[in-house]
Amino acid sequence: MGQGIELAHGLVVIGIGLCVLGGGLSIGWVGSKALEALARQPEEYKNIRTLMIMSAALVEGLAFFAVIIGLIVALK
Amino acid sequence: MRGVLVRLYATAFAFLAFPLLLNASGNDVSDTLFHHILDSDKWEIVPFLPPVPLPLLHIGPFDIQITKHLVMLAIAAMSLAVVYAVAFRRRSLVHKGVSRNVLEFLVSFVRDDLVYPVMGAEEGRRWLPFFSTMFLLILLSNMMGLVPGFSAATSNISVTLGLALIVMGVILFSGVARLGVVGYFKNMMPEGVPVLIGIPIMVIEVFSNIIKGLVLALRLFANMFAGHMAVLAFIMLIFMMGCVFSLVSYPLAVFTSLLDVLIGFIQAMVFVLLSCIFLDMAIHEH
Repeated sequence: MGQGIELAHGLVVIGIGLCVLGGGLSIGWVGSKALEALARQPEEYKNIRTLMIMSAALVEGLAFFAVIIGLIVALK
Repeated sequence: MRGVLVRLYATAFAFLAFPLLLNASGNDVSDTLFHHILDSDKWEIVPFLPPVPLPLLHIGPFDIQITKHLVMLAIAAMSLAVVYAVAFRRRSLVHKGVSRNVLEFLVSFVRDDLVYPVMGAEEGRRWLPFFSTMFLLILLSNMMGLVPGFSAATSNISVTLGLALIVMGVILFSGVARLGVVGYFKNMMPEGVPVLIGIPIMVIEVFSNIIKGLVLALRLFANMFAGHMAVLAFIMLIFMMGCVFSLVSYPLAVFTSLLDVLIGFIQAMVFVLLSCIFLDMAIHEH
């Protein structure tokens, strides 16, 4: 029984890691694309910045969702 | 250079580790970690004095426990009200004073960067008071987590859920008031779609509206919670791994605290920006 719970905790941690990996990749993607757009049209920096932060926040919300769920599961 | 470093270490120690030293002795590390982030019915204002117990109110049939985060939220709200009253006591446009300059800077940031670009000037003018109040309250609550003796009310899921419920309520009621009950739900269906496909889409849209609100709350909560937890985790590493580790831990903790300032600002901004976009989607036909 104890070993099963430990295995489950390990799996939860791996899951959190995968989610955060996905989130990190997506935020990097958002940032790089925003930088490209900024290089192409520097005068549009205000819209680009707003949209970039918004998309990054949307992605980040998912990653945090995974972390919180993982925490809840791991602490039970 | 050396003097600056020593001062930095002393400040970091005083701000970050001193209150923890007493608690950490003899306690489990994770207990101490969670004790400092989670809500409690005691308020540790000064580190070495015993914490102030907060009252349990009996109002009618309800027992209401006043908690730390409740006090923090009340302090944030009241200090905002006081700052507003002080700042706009004088109506002069020339001698503005510090508080009014700061407030004008923040409110015009909300106006020019968040509300007007999304909603347009005409519609945005009507909603600016609501959103700027929301922004200032969230920003102040986020920043209070960095002051010793205080804690961030937004690192409590109930507080952020309450804020998100206010926003969702405002969106629902203003959408219904603008478009009517039928129009509000019709707005969710794309134009010219057969009813058999339109109704499932509408159901999905209703659920997505609920999920939007939940995620709005969860994002703010998780960011603040994780930010403070990261600072504490770096400090707790010293207790787990010995004194030498403080050479690594303190700079990291200071860096994370500074990152927390940035994150607190960005999350307040994101909360307001997203609620603006949701409101704009709900009250305009498309």
